[in-house]
Amino acid sequence: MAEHSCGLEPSEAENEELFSGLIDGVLTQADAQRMRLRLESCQGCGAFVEELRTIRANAQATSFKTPEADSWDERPIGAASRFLRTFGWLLVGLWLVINVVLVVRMDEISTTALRVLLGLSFAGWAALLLSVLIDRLKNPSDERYRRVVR
Amino acid sequence: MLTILPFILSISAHVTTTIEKGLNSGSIDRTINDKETEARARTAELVRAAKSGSEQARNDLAQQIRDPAFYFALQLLGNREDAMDVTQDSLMRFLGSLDRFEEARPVLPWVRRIVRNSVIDLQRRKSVRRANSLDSDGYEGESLEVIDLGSDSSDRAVNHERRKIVWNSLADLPESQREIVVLREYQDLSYQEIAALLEVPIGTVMSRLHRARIELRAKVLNRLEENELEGLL
Ligand SMILES: [Zn+2]
Repeated sequence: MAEHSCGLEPSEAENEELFSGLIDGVLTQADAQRMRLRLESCQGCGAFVEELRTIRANAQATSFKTPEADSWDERPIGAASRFLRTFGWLLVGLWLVINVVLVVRMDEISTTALRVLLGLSFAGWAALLLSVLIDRLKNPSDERYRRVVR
Repeated sequence: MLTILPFILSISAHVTTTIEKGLNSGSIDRTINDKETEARARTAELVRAAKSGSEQARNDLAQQIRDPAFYFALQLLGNREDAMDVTQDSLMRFLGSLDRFEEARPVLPWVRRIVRNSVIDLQRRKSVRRANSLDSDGYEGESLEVIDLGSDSSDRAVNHERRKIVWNSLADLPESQREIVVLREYQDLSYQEIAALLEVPIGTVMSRLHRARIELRAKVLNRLEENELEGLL
């Protein structure tokens, strides 16, 4: 790592505006000149600014993959819908487990417990339905939306 | 005299091309400006139509805004799933607040504000899983599409590696530092635009940015060292 011969660390408070200002090109001519001299005379400062510039250049050159157009269509919209969707799927999962249990150990289960479990499974399906309904209401023209994407 | 002639000719040719270049770059600037003005006018037209109830205009607007909203959300959150949720919410909020928006104003700053608020809401609701490792979803090789600057493939790989390291190091920063880095380095906003969005003075933007940059540099250097890529920066 390059040493500082200027005696000032870039992390010192009074330098804040000078370093960032230089990188972002917003310094006054006088300040810019002062910084140029400093970077020329101090290897540490020169390397520091170069590194910050490289980081910035890399950040700016980064591009991100856009989600597939289809992946937006079936997503729940809004916190309420998302909650219902998750809750719904959980209960539907439970429903499947219950079915398996029912088939396997039919005799040992009391009718009250059975009713509660059945009720829960219906609630699961209802929650899912409600979640889809909410999204439809919020986004009525899904079809057209989709057409524009493609 | 005859020996100087080619020299004079070449100079005059040089002068002519320089002048032409100047004119051309001027006209390129003008074309870009024209295009921007045009795009802005089109968006304003869409906002107007959407406000007066056109379903098609609402869809077109949402369509236009979705990608920039998603990128911004992804940069703030570092998590693809959450970013998609925030984008959906933001689009709804955006369409819901159309009535309060003047069509002459640019749309993106407004979208950024909405996205940022959605992100804050989400972070309040749950402590967001943050992408801390190279293999977390959203920024792994195939998800991070890199604009290719180098001509040969080893350059490309190095560039890609560097961008990935910078991006992953972002996840090591505290929330407010991450935000300011995103706004300046990834979104390329001016100090004024950042100050307006965060509702803080420009001086605060500058000092916060400087501290965040120092921190990010340290994180990047750490990661480079961990991966034995010291010379990369
Ligand atoms: Zn120095």
